[in-house]
Formats: sequence, C-alpha cells, structure tokens
Amino acid sequence: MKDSARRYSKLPNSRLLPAARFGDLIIGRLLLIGLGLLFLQLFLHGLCYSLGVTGLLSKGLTTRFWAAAMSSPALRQSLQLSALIASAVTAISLSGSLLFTLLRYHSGSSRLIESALWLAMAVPVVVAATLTRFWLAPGGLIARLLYHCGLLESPTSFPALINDPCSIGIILCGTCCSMPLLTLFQLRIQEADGLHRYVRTAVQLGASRWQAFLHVLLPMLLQRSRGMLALTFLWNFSAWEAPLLLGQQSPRMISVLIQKSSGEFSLDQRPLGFVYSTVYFIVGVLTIAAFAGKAARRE
Amino acid sequence: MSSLSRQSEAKKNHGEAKKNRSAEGSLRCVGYLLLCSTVIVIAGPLLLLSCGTGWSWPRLLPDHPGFTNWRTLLSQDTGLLSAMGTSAALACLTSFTATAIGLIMSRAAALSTGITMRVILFLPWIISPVVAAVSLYQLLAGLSLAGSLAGVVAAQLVFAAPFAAIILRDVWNHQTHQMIRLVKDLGGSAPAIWMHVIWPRVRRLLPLCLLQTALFSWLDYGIVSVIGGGRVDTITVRLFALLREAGLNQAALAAIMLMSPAIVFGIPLAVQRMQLPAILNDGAEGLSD
Repeated sequence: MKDSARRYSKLPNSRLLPAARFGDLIIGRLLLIGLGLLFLQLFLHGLCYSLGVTGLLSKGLTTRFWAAAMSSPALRQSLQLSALIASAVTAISLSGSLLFTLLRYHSGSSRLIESALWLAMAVPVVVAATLTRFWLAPGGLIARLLYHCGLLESPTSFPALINDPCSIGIILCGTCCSMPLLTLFQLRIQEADGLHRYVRTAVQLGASRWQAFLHVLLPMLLQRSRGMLALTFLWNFSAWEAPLLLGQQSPRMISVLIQKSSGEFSLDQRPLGFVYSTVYFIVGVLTIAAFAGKAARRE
Repeated sequence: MSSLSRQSEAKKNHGEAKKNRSAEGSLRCVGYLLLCSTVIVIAGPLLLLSCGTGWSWPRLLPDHPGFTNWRTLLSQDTGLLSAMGTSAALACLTSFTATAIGLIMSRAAALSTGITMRVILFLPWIISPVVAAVSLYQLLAGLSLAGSLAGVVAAQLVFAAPFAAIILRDVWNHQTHQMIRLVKDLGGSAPAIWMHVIWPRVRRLLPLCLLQTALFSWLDYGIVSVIGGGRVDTITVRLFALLREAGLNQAALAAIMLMSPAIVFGIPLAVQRMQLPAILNDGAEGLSD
C-alpha cells in the first residue's frame, strides 16, 4: 500500500488522478490552444509588418527596419530599464508582503490592515501615477509641506523623484499597485491551505516560533506565490500608464517605446514599432518559458 | 508540590494572555495607522485639488476654493453617466465571463505536464494591450465585431481570462486532487465534486478574481480606444482625454471619477472577511496530524 502511494506521488497530476477528469478539461485545453494560436497570429502579423510584407505603405520584403532597430541603442536600453524596474518592484513588493505576513504571524490577523490593503488595491494604476505626481513632483505636496516647514527654499531645490533617471516615481507607483495584491494573495493562500497548522506541528515538535516561520511558513508561502511573483514581474515589465506619466523621455520603458513608435510618428516609422514589439514578444516568451520550465522540472 | 506546579502554570497562562493582549493592541494601532495613512495619501490630494481652481506655489490649498469643477461636470450634458454605464456593463460582462473561462482554463493548465500551456497562460501579460489591440482589430473586423461592445469584451477576455486562470490555478493543488479522488472513490458524481470540493476552494479566491478582472476592464483604455474605434464610449476614453488636456484640478476630479467604482467594489470586499471553510480545516488537520 505504501509502495503504491509512493509510486503515485511521483507521477504528474494528469496521471495521478485519471478518475478525476471531467469534460471541462477538454474545453479548457481547447481554450488554451485557441489562445496560443491567436497570439501566434498576432506575433506573425507584427513580424510581417516589421518586414514590410503587410501594411498600408509596404513596398515589399525588407530588413531595413530591423537593421535600424538593432543599430540604435533605444531597444537595448528600454529592455534593460524595463527588466530593472520590474525586478525592483517585485523585490520590494515581496519584501513588503512578507513583512505583513510576519506581522500577522506574530500578532494575529487584523481586519483594519486587510481593509487598508483592499483600499490600496482598488486604486487604479493611472490614479496611482497621478497621485505620485501630486505628491512627489518638485511643486507637489511634499515640496510645499517642506517649504512651509522651512526646509525648502524653492521647487528647484527639491530632488527629482519623477521623470528622473533612477525611475523612483515609477518604482514607487508600481510597488504601491503590486504589493497589496501580493500580500492579500499570500494571506488567502495561508488561510486556504491551512499553513498555520504546519507551523503549529513544527512548534509542537520542538522548533521555536522564528524557526517555524523561517523554515516552514516562508518556504511554503514562496513556493505557492511563484506564479503571482512571475505575474508581478511581467506586469511591471509591460507597464504602460505609469511610465508614460512618470518616466523620462529617454530611455523609455519598452511598452511606451512601442506605443510611441507605432502610434505617434509617421506611418513610415510604424514598422519600427512592430520590430520592437516582435523583439519584446520573443524576450517575454523566453522569460516565461524559462520560468515555466524551471517550475515543471521542480514538480 | 502539585499546588506549586498549578500556581506556576497559572502564572504562565496569565503572562501569555497579557502578551497576547499587548500584541493585539499593537496590531490594532498598526491597523489604524495604515488605514488612516492610506486614506490620507489617496483621498487627500484628490479632494483638495478637485474642490477649487488653480494651485500656485507655495499654497497648500487651491487658489480659489469651491465646487466650480464639480458643478461644471454635473451640470453640463457631458454624457459621463452613459459612459460610466457602458464601462460598468463592460466590466460586469468581462469579469464574470473571464472568471468562468479562467476556472476551466486553470484546471487544464494545472493538469498539463508540459510547459506549453503555462507559457500560453502567461502570454497576454507580456504583450502591450495597445499593440495587441492593433493586430486584433483586423481579426475582429473580419468577424464584424470591431466597433461594438461585443468586440471590446472579446478583446478584453483575451487578457482577462488568462489572468483569472492564473489567480485560480492555486485551487488545483495536491490537497484538492486528493479530496477529489476521495469523493470520486466514495461514489461522488462530478456535480457533487464541483459543489462540495472545488466550489469551497474557488470561493476563497473568487472576490479577488472578479475584482481584478472587473478593474482591468474598467480601467482599460488601449483596447477600448482601438477596438471600439470611438463607437464604444467608456469612462476611460473620456477621462484620459481630460487628464491629458486639462489642468491639475480637472485631473484630480477625473481621478476621483475613475477610482470611485473601484472603491465601491473594493470596500464591501474588504468588509466581508472570507471564512476558512470547515472542509479545508479538516483536510489540513488530517495532513498535519
């Protein structure tokens, strides 16, 4: 009996539970395949447009847009900037959410804290970006408060926190939008999976509360939050509204670069936008494939 | 001897109770502080600036306080209410459909062994909605859906359904599978499994999923502007123009209008604390014992 259970536990989920399959599984797979084909079509459309095969002003197959994009530093800088900002936001959001988890672990649950998180989560990105501008701009509320406290002489002496080279405004705005969702997700997972019971077992077996948190709760939480963390990273990687309002002119985050290239300049330059979007698509797919492959190997 | 041990135990219990009370008190303080600061940071500047015109340096209040902006907005026939109605209809349609589709997709993705399904699930989140919408437009135009509410919902579902599936994917963990197997072995039908095993687990994440997908739809500008082609008039289409063109006071007013439904949806969810279902309690207890 034990051997049989051990053998089952090594099998992947689809083979582990043959009796638990329903008709919805086929529909679900068809939906996923349909979605994949749709995105393949979008990718091919962008690729064809960037190669001059389609488009209103296309003059036949050409690689000049790809050559122009590769010789310019704009694309590389945008990808680097997007990855750095997304990593920073994910890391800060994760640290913040774990801090809340630790607080809850130490002092118990609080409706007030959860209400504040729900409230913060209900703030749209564009409003969060507008609020960041209101607070952190050189002529914003913080600068005015500092002036009235006698700590600032003029708006020009206030440090640049928006449209700045370090993208502080974008990171702050991204963190304010991502952290509540990540924290609430972790709290729900903690409750739904009854993780406190594993902690209690560890304490009953002789571990200290801190050891139980560090070696039992934290790894379980991180393991269950992997999908949401990847989502947070990708969400911030492809952020558009906040970088549009709070970012500097150059380099731009990748979504802004694509949108500006595709929509605002002349139609002649439109294929350049599709070059950027194609590269962006490839980089994104490779990132997801690397993440998903790693997760599949772990399972 | 036994009375001494009883006394020491009572002292210990008293000490623990005191410690718990102190932790509860400090937690309540942190909660109040966090809630108040969140409200002030969010509502403070928006209310301050929307109730007045002008905001010259270094004044903390607007140059001419009053409700001129609000009166102008509400008195003129701006069509803002009909735009809000359209946005609300879009958000409802998208969130409920995306959650239903996402649940089915999440099961298929969770049970697949390869990485292809997972990659597909995450695909919509790496593509800029504006760029995707430009390509989607031709496809939807071929189906005569471009410029219609149905077309916008269809385009939004491409993004919202996989997001719902990602949120709901954690429902399909090993514990759920064990429970499904148990019910199945005991003769439970498929509807019974959905009702008594899957639904209690889905219920935990459902408000989060519905809220996130509804917010995505409510706040979407890229897809609506491209697929709608000006014929689907939502609140974002109107308010983005206001944010771009108007001054700080109008921008604050626009931000309040944009944020109000999110708060209306969010506060009831915050008040309604989701309880841990007994079935999960029992399952977790069984595992830890």
